[in-house]
Amino acid sequence: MLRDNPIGWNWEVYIEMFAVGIAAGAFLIAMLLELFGRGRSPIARTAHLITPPLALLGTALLIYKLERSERFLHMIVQSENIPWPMFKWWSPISFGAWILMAFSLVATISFIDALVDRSWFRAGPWYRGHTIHGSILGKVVAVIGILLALALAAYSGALLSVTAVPGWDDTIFISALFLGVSAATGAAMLLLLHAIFGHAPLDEVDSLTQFGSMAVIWQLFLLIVVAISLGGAMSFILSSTRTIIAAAVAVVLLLIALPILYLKVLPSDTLRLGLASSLILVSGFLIRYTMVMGPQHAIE
Amino acid sequence: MAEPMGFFTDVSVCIGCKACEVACKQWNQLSANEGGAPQLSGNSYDNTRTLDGNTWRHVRFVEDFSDDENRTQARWLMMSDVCKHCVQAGCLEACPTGAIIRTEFDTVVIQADVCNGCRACIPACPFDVIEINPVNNTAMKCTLCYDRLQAGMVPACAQACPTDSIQFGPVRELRERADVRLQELQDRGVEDASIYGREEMLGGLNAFFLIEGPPEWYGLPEDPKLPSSNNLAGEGIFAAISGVVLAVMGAISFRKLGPSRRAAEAERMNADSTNDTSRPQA
Repeated sequence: MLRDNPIGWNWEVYIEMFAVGIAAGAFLIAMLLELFGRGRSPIARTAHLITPPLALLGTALLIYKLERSERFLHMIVQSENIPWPMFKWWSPISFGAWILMAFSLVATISFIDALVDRSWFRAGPWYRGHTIHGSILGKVVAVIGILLALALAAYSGALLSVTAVPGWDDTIFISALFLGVSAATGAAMLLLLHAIFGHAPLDEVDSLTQFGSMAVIWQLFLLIVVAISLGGAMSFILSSTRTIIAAAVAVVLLLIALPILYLKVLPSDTLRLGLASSLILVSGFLIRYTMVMGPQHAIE
Repeated sequence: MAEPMGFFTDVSVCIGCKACEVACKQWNQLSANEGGAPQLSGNSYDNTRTLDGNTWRHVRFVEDFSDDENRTQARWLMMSDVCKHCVQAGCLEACPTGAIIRTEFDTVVIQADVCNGCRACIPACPFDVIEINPVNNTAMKCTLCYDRLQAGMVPACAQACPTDSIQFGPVRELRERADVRLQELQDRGVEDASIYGREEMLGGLNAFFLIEGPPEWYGLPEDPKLPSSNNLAGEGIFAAISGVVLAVMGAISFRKLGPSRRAAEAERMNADSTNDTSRPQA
């Protein structure tokens, strides 16, 4: 059935998904580093510092996007039964609001922990050398953080797929794809910051490069899976010149970034990491744009 | 709960007068589109075009002509479309604020004072019924005149309908009436008549239709699905798989940075008396 009414999820939505996806991917990497023994590493600390601002940006965009922004709390508390929580796990937007809140809480703790680790802040027994990350408690936070980061990266896919909109409802792999995009763009953002500020030891950068490369390969694989699962419904995703170009450029950029990143075809590390990570970030943005706007352009 | 109430809309007696559209707008105080300026769609006499947040009844016009050169067979079908008040309602499932409720009449109503305009209900509706009302900026649709029902009155559209194309009553009774009417039509040779919205469709549509011709003619999906039952489990399973794959990739990439590896390296480097600790040796 062709739809007439516009969905109205526009730039605010795909920018929110992009920003929150980077936050989730970067935080996932920090938590994985924590689990494998580098809770206080420079890359993890950078991830802790960039995650809350990105999550805040995403939250602000979501609230701004509401037609009645002053009622955003109705997502969290029952407006007729304050302060009882309003939570529907089967509604992706309700699930996402709660996950974003829980994720932001944990990310903020890690953010403060990173400040403490740099002696920019202290509070009682929380001071440099006595941080959460790098301790046993950090492992507990890491397990919770990994689950929240994965849920946050995935929910936006379900938000699209669990609808009755042709193109979105024709595949069950959008969440899986968005997880891949989040991991790849999160790694790319951390590599880009390293390329600019050069703060991390090389063994960590090598490991992160390896993870980023694998995430890009996973993302490419999932793009193929999504395309196959959509079949003829792919026309709803590639419904306009803009989304066709965006999708094509996104794939080409990933294919260019991968050899630059992993095969080290450029002599300078700064140039190599900076260029490859920028291409992955732009590609991730274009994939979000295509998936969000394609079926909506079909309605227009 | 009171007995489920609903609409039975019979296409075979609709004359396209649009009294239902006007009565609905009047009772619910919905403004005219574009300030009342005439907007011709070019699609038969259907200038309303669609159901949305400001139009809760919409008379569709279907011009059915035979393919031969002289169009020897022709009929003009009209159907007054409306929210289906599904027993399994996608909008109600998706709404994250609790603004969409099921009433004691088994109808589905959006509470405008609770809705925050997140738009989640718009793509969740398989019938494309809901949109944002431009006056109060909340999602809106037919309430099946909830206020009139509470006062024991008939919904405005059904009351205004001059041909009884729109019938209001207990859904059980309406279904019996619809079956009798369908049999009548089929006995008269109207072979493509059918009931749209029986119990097997989303648990039953409380606003259902007797149509002539395929549902697509009326902008109705042939097999509407509840979005959550369609995709939620699949998305969850494959997202979990993707998450596990990424976690394994993380384990493969970052395990060499672990404490035991670092301790061994430090020991070796002490032995070698070298200061270069930046890159692990092969």
